[in-house]
Amino acid sequence: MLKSIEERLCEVAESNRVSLSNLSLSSSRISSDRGSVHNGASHHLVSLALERSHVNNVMADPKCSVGVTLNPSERASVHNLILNEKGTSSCTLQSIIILASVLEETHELVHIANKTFLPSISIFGNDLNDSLDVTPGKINTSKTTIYNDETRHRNQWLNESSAAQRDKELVKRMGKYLPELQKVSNFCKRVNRLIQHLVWQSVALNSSSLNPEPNSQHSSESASRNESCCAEMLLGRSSSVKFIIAEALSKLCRLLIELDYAVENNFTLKESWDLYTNCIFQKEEVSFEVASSTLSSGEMKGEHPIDVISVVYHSSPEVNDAKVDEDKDASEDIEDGDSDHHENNHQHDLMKLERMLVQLDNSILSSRSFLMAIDQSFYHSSLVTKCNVKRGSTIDEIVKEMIILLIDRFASASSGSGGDESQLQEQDLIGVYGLICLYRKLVPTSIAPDVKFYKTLLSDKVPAFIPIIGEVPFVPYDFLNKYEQLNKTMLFSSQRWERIKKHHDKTFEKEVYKLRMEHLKWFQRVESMLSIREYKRYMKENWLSYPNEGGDSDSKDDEHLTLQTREKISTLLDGVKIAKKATNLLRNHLLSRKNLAEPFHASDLDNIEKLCTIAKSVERTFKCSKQRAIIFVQRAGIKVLALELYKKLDRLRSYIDHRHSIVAEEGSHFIRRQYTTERIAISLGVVESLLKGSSSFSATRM
Amino acid sequence: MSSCHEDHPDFSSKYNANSIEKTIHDLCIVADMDECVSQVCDCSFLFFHQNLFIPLIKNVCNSMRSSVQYVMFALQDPYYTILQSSKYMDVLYPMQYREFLVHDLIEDHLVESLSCNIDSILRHRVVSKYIDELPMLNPNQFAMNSLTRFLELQPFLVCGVSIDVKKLIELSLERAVYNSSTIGHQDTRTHIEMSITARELGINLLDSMLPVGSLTNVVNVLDIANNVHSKYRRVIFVFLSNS
Repeated sequence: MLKSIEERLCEVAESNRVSLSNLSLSSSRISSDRGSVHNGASHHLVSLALERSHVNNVMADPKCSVGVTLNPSERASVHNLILNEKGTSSCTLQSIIILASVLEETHELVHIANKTFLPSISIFGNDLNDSLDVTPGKINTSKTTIYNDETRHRNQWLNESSAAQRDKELVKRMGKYLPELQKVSNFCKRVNRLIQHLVWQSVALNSSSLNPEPNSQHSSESASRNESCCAEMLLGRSSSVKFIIAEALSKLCRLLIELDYAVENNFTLKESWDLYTNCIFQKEEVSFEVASSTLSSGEMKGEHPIDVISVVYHSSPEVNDAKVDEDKDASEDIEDGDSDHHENNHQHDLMKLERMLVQLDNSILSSRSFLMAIDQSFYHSSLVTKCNVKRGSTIDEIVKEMIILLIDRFASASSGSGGDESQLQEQDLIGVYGLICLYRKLVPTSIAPDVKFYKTLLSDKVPAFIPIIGEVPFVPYDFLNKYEQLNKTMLFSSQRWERIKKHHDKTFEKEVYKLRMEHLKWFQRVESMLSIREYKRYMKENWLSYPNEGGDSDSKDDEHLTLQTREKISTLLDGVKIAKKATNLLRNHLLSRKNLAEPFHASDLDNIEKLCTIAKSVERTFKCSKQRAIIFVQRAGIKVLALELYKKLDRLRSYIDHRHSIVAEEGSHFIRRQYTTERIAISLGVVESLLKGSSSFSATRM
Repeated sequence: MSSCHEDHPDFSSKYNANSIEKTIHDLCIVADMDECVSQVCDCSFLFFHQNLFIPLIKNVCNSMRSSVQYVMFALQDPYYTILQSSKYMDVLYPMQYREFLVHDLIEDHLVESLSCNIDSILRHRVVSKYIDELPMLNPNQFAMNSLTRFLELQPFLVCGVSIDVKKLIELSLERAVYNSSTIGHQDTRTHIEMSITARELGINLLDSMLPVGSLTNVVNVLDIANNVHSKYRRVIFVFLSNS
């Protein structure tokens, strides 16, 4: 089996190499090709997969990428893989499909937010504040303190004419940006619905297991109902499923919190918004006055009082193009004197625009997206009647359970006891704190908050602040105070936060030194492991001239090959970890310096330079210097890992078959065991089907 | 999996579940390595710390470490974020940012500083031959050794612009030497010697503004102007003798 895999891999590697060289020669065509490929995708998941796996390569550019390039014919959605494999759709399978689709949507939303609007919101109007002009003397290089943004961006607009020009520019930009804000608003609604949906799903999965009906399971009458509750019974008891849902919920909460922080801390955006809304409202007042004056005198004289208003109409192309045209027509007609109909339209359009602005003002622009998400109703009538759950008691318990799961996982990740499998990072804690706020909203106000629970949430292991998009510190203490108005005795004091920051400053230099040593060792390993000679030998011996004889030699070679590839993969993963540590450390340090308003010393600059070097040299190694070898190892790694997983699951499969036979002999007396076995069997089937893949593509058959 | 304890503790053990989870996690990273590496190594947050750029580049120059290309790669990351949001910004802003990186940081600060250092070293080497009081530079403690790290840097791309530090330094030195030799023609010999010394260090100072490309191979107009009387006399002599 492996021989065919290797041959296929070699072919793919060769074709990929050729395509890479073509891509590097015609890098300018990449964007257009990508667009055409994406447009040709029939399903949004397919287009997403296309986007994710596209190789955007320019050989000399560090931004070039390493990726598995799949042909469009080799792609399949998760739903199709699950359904195609099983053929039938049992209740559990349907639940798995629902969960898979919900999680896929979460992933997609996170991807959209991080790639599209979050960066644009965070840097909106920064070009008006920053003095990035190339003319010498504009940048003051002799500053002793580096951060004085507030004074800096104001100095440029001191005189009145430039201030008026800036206001015009801001209004114009906001007009252009309005469609994007509308999209963000719709996105937030989608996220809110998804959060609600996830909570409902988790409640539905947990409610049956919390209130089981053992007596009814014996009767044949309730068999069908039991079958329908099977999914809830089986999936709801799994802590892994709970963790997955909790993780998805925390990701969504984090998105909204990041959006709120980005808007709240972008003062230019707020200023621009205020100017824009003022113009619109003034315009409405003017038109109202004009209408009343034409009604009374029959003629209109004068001009718009503010010149900026004209800018507003030229600057919002997508939102109110039609409105603008109509508005212009209407104003001309008003001047002509016969304008009742157009005037009404104009008023109507303005009202609609005003309504939209008010909605945006009350939601996104007032940084209330997260609050709106946790304030929505999470009670569903069908859930309450169906599962006999006491209203108001279950949902908060479930959310609390999720929080504890996430916090435990984070604690094990930070202490290192959880091993490498824990994927939680510092940034994920933002979502966990979002969930805590959600929990507090769900708990009835009459119940006092659990002090012990909160103390575990804000232990010493939790970072004092977490960098968030737009380089704003997310301070857990402040965040919880803002949304919960908790008693200060329950949480740690701000003085303690200061102490933690000082501790961070002391440990920074040591951590950089340690990381640099790790990086050097890693670099040495990579150089020896992925040198050209090694790479050629690896290709020649293990992949190109793989022996045809089967039997023991095959299995020995397989093991050798697996071990070798596993070693290379772990080396690559170590590099990723080192780079992650470096960027996180750099970001934390810069943010703490910025917020403490402390100047940078020479040693600081040295350390910053080292961290930049570590992160970028890792990227360079992955994407340029060792690119070809890494693509090869990556493809081999996918195959080896998938095979490894498949083997593990194979053992599990035989065990489950054995259990099935035992449970069948025992009969329906041990219904819970039967359910458990069935759950594992179905979950296993799904994982195996994913690993096998579609008829055209598979990780194991690649 | 949690309820299978009784018969097969092998499958129910936490270790086994963790190993499967770890394998899946590794598989996720390896399959999506492109995105993962880009995300992990992304330094676009430096956009909000732009005032740090110039001190950082100055520090790179002073410390004589050749990590300038990696620092520039980190500083160029915000450029891609700006390009993504360029629709809602000034049209020229991405270009301005690129100019800021390429001209302000690299040419004005890095290259100028390096070429100044090299110029002073070359001048010292040349002048120390003629002035006895001036100590000769010890080759082992020669600052040029550190500077050659910069000269040996391979060309790299910053925001799509190819940066060759060595060529930029050469250009800057050529300009400096040519300008100073034009203004102070008494230093012409020193400058010629400097350019010869620079060649020993791997810097080829070719002046494209001169017809033959080098100060050593051209007709020195200033020299002719200074010695015009003797030459005039010689021409007159030849003319008279022939006639």
